[in-house]
Amino acid sequence: MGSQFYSPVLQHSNTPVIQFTRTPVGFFMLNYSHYDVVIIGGGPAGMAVAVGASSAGLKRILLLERHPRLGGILNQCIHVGFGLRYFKEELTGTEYAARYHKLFQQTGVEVKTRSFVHKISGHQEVTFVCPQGEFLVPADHIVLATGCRERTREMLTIPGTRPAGIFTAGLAQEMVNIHGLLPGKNVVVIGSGDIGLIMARRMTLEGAKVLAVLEILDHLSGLVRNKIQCLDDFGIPLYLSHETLEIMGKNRVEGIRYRDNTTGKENEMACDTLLFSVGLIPERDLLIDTGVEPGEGIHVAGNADYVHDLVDWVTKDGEKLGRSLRNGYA
Amino acid sequence: MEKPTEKKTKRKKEEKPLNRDKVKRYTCVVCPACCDLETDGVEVNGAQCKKGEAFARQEMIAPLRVITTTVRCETSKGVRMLPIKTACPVPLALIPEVMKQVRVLRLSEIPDIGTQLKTGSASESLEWVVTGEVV
Repeated sequence: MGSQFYSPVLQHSNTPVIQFTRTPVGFFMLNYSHYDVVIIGGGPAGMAVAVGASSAGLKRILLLERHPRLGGILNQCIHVGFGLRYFKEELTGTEYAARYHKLFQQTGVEVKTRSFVHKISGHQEVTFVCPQGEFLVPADHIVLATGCRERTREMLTIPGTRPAGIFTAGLAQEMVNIHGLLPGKNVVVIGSGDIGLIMARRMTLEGAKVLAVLEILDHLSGLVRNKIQCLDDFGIPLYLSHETLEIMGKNRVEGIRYRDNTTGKENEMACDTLLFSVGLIPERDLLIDTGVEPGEGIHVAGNADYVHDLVDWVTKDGEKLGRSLRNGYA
Repeated sequence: MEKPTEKKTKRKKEEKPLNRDKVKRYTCVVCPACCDLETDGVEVNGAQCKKGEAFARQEMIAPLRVITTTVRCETSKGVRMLPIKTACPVPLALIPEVMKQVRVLRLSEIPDIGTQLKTGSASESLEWVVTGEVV
């Protein structure tokens, strides 16, 4: 074993460009030693950038995805309402992912799944870990298509205990739709974001009782059509201008205390599960280490750029960004 | 990055006279534009497209919705949840009944995307379409 397996950064032009930065545990090869574009994230934004870049004539494109399959969050969105703008047809999230994946496959872009990028260095290098080990790959363009993270209860600083039974809506969506697990029986949704509304319906369909959706603002955060299809159709009440004051319960959530901010009246509601749908934050933690602003060979696509309300716009934005990429440094 | 917006100028349709005794208001759920509709069951005001007009008339008689859910596939590789949707929209009032039918359904293998499934008895069967792939 030579010491080159441990050398972390490229130093000489004659050394192999892609190299192990830790002891390898398996064998795997990438098609190229240097890429025009490395895309981080295999969701709708990442696939769209790959399609766009491919149509702009770039050949050496690598897509890195941490999950075993592409599609990202679309894979857990089994509800309808996708694709009306892009495909001119109403599809479910999973259908949209499958259909766009077909377009993506025609481009022949190289994909490496089960690969988690943990660092981007300032020299246009991406470091990722995968079952075969840790690798470093240089690229002219690095595109972050990492999507969003959900805001959590901690970020809202709601006082009270820290019992089991508190979930973000997206996590609950993954539990129900992918793993077939029901997070709880008597649910209160806090925040009226789209995922919260969708999950209020989904939990109701799966036999849970959704007691209410509480929203601190005086207006709905999500789309109106989601309120109609998800709350009104199932008789789930939406309380606007209602602030959650406290979460109660020792081991499991036992209830919440809330206040109607229009009248100032406080009240309590018993429940065993809380779902938070209180906003999304673009996921750009990878940029913290690099000290490089987006635009200098590092680009941000999709929801990592700003939160889109429709996946169709994510796709169109991503393709546009992909087409704007050129050979060589930006 | 500029946000994509629809720059098409909305065609202002002429307001049709409605039978004021029967008028009901709906918000269209056909697309994210969420038009405010007003209908008396015959004429529809406020819709930007034909689909919206049909939606309003249907909503007045019996609201129809596509139901999406998952079905349990117990395969040799383990249990996987497969996303499905109803092949056509079903009446809102029948949703609890429909969910009862599909909750007892078990598949022993994972069908391809687009495969049709049937639930319920022969006389009252309901068609479903597989909408996703599982690993």
